[in-house]
Amino acid sequence: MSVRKRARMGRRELLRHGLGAAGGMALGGWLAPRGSRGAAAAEGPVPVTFWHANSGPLGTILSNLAKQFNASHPKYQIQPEFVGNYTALNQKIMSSVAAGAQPDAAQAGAYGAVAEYLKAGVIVPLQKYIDGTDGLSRSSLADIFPGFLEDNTYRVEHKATLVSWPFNKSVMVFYYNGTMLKSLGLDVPKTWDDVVAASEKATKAGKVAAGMGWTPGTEFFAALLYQNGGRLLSMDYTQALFHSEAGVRALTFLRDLNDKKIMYLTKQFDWQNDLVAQKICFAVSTIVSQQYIQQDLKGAWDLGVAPLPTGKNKATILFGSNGVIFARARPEAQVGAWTFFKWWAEPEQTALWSVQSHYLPLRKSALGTTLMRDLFAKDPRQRVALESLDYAHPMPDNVAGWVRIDPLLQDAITKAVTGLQAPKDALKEAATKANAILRG
Amino acid sequence: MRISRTAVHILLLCGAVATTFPFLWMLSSSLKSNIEAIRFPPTLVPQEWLWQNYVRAVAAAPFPRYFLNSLIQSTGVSACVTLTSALAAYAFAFLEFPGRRIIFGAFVTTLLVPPEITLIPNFVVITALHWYNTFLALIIPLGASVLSIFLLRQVFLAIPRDLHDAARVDGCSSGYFLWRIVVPLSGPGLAVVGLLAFLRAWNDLLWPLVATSTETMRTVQVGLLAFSQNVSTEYTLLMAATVMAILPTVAAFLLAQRQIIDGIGTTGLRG
Amino acid sequence: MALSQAAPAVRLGARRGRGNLAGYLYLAPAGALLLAFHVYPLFYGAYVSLFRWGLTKQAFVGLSNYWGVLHDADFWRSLLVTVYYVIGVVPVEIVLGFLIASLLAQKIRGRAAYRLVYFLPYITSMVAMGLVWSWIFNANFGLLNSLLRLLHLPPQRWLLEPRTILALLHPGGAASATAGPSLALVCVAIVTIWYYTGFHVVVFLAGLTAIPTEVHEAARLDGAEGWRRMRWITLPLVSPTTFFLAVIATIGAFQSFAIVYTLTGGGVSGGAEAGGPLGTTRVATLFIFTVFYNEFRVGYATAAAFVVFAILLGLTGLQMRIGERRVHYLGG
Repeated sequence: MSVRKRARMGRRELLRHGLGAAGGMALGGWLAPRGSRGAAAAEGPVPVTFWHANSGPLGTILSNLAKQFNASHPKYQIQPEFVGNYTALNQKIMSSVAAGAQPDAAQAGAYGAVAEYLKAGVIVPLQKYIDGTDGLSRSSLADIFPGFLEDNTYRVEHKATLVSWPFNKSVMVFYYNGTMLKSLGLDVPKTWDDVVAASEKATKAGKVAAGMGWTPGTEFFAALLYQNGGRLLSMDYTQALFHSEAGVRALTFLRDLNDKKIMYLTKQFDWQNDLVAQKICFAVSTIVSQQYIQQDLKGAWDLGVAPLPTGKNKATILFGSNGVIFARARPEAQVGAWTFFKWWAEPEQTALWSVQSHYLPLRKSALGTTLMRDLFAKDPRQRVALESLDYAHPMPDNVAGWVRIDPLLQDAITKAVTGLQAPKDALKEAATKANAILRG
Repeated sequence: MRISRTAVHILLLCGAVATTFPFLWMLSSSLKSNIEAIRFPPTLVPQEWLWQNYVRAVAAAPFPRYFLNSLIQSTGVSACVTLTSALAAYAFAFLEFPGRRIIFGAFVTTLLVPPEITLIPNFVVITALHWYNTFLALIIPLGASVLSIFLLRQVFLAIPRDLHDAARVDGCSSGYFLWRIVVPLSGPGLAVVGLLAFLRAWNDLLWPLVATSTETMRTVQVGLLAFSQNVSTEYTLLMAATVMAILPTVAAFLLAQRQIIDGIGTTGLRG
Repeated sequence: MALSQAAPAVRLGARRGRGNLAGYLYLAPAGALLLAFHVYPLFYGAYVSLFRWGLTKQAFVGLSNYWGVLHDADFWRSLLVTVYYVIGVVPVEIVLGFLIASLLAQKIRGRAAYRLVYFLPYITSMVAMGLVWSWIFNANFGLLNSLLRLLHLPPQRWLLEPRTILALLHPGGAASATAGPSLALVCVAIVTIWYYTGFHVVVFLAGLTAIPTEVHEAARLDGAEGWRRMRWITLPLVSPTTFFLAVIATIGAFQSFAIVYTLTGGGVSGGAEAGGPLGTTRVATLFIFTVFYNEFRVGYATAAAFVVFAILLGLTGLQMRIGERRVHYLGG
């Protein structure tokens, strides 16, 4: 190739590269998202960014509700953004807070997340808005299911203060294969002994590989712990109590279920696949799973929903997440976010959310709406979750540090259930580490 | 070791099959229906070829946006690295200045600093600069590469010194010499450096993961990971997404494979 | 010559002086970036590690983060996991790379094609191929378990299995979690080896083909054949390459993140916490990342990073020292 051609090639290359770099950066600057603080909206609605972890259809329902709010409240514009699962959401919130690029409001789903944010002083306790001009009256607050409010109350300067707002709540229920139980002449299990007996019968009849499938997690253990009269933490959240007699009994029970092949371990949502494929006939999960299982079923058999089988006591677990407003958001955006949260909990909206997403309604009065009454008439299984609320315990997600304790406990549970360590030792080890974390 | 020619081929073929099999499985799984994907016994060739898996994958997550972000980032990094490395390599290869040896040594020592160390401080720095969640954060920190300088320096050193001396005698400035002579003569070397930088940026996970927060700024790798967390039971969609994710790099590689492989090979020769 | 015709107006002046300035100027862009994002972090990181630093900077705590790290059982466990991982990955990559390159070095047909194929994994994204491998390793529907089923062998949990291979083969025996790498870690190692061997093949091939044929001829004339030739001629002559690859591979394995995270932390087979089944695949980088990104204990995580860095420096220094003595350079 002639020197001149090469020279041209070289220059063109460098030029292309140079343009590429400049273009890239210009494009990058243009495409860079503007924080809500960057957008100066003198006129027009106040944008309120809201990060959440509701994927797929749930995310669509949320977006639709947000659009409804925006239409009826032209002063504000809620901009929901799906960020990932609860862990990813928490990671992104923390790193964006550190970067000063946090959203105006967000759903806080990771255990202990709200407590961490409160400790770091990056969120605004909602009590300020509840007591404010556009707040909530006592009677209105009383209409909200008490458990949901307790979950969001913290001691701030020695006063019980509502810091976050209940957003999506659900309870742990018991799923069963109605068709299969009927064919075996079995009743719906009410206690764990029933479950064991039914599983053995179904396995012996060759209908299933095992009675139940379970992805190890702390919630099911916690439910059993409460059923045995124990608790996860002391009342003042300074000590771990899950290694008590009750805890050991609960964990031993889980291990025995696994050893006797009444139950086997799965990962993530594989228990759902196995339930649908009739490899198992029982499962324990949140009421929200119902729609996903129903979808996968395509009517192959009748899905039954029952309250969690009881042990010594009745107990089940409350799931879900809460909403927070960030302190560095502009005041108008904060008010906008609060208005949205308040609107979210109003009877019509909470009923609509509940009916479409199968999360629980936040208010008692929502039960009286036509929407909900129709739902119960059509699908009485939905009542099960509501009825379980009376004895549902929340996970200690208002304890800063639980986000680090939860994986420890989960490891202990996995080790004990798979026989790698004795339940007593596993729990004791986890408790010691947990106490160290709680001590800070 | 004298092994027969056929034995050599058989061994190499086995190895090649083992190496490429995951790619075949990925392609095969991406075209299956979910039911066939989990069926036993497993099939290699799908019964029906569901091209709509690709359509569904693209609909399930904003892959076009992820691709655009990766493209912008990788092109930016590639341009930046090629530019800064060419300039630096030129200085090391042709120019005289005090402390040249020491500075070169210093550059090489920065290779020792591991990503674990740079990750957190860099994160804090870009947040202070308000570059968080922007392309500036994705491109600038990756804009210089000692390995590229090293590679280009070797390429430049291959240019005869006399050419440089003659040019200087003729009154040619360094910049002119670099632009008009060195660059054209090092076309392939520059291309390799640019391409390698592009590939490295495209495949990077940790830094884009930490430097971005919103969905609109995700790169392909981060987006793919997030996608896998959210469709954990839709294996076929996931496989379709991975095929799309590696297609650009495989294509780029196949186009320039000789240069890339030769380039990599020679880095080991210097020992 | 075209050069003098193309040159602009003659410039006179202190050539040497200008050469000085020009040198620094040309180095400036790369140097500035390296300084800002590779050197400065070292110092800033050291600063950060002396504080209790969460979402915001809190109190100065001196060396207490380092103290905490050195007394953190989880940290030492992650180092142990890293050691298992490095030992499992590096020698295999080097040996496999060498063997395959040796086969390729013999002038066989399609050498370029083979080289291409072996190198292919290296240029694909670790996330994408990690996800493909997790699918292959899937405990319920994956290919490997299907193959085992065809052979009437029990299915394995692969990336979810916290027990060691020994414990799986001798179910009765008392096997503790620290008695060796878990099956999950072995799976991660296999994927890593699959990914990087091609790189070793290519580098070794370059090194092997650089050995002048005269050397081989001379050896053959001297009667050194097959295995003896390999041991006394080839291996020593290729030792600079081996040494180079050993150092690079060790450093790379120590810093491995994407593959481990995709397979056992953030992807299809993992859960919310990175580190696989019972933390048996939590290598040091994953430990640092988890403490930083999940718990946001920035000061503590940085201190841990420095400890790992110090260990890696020491290890590399050791390798250099061993290498000096055992590497033979052709031509002295």
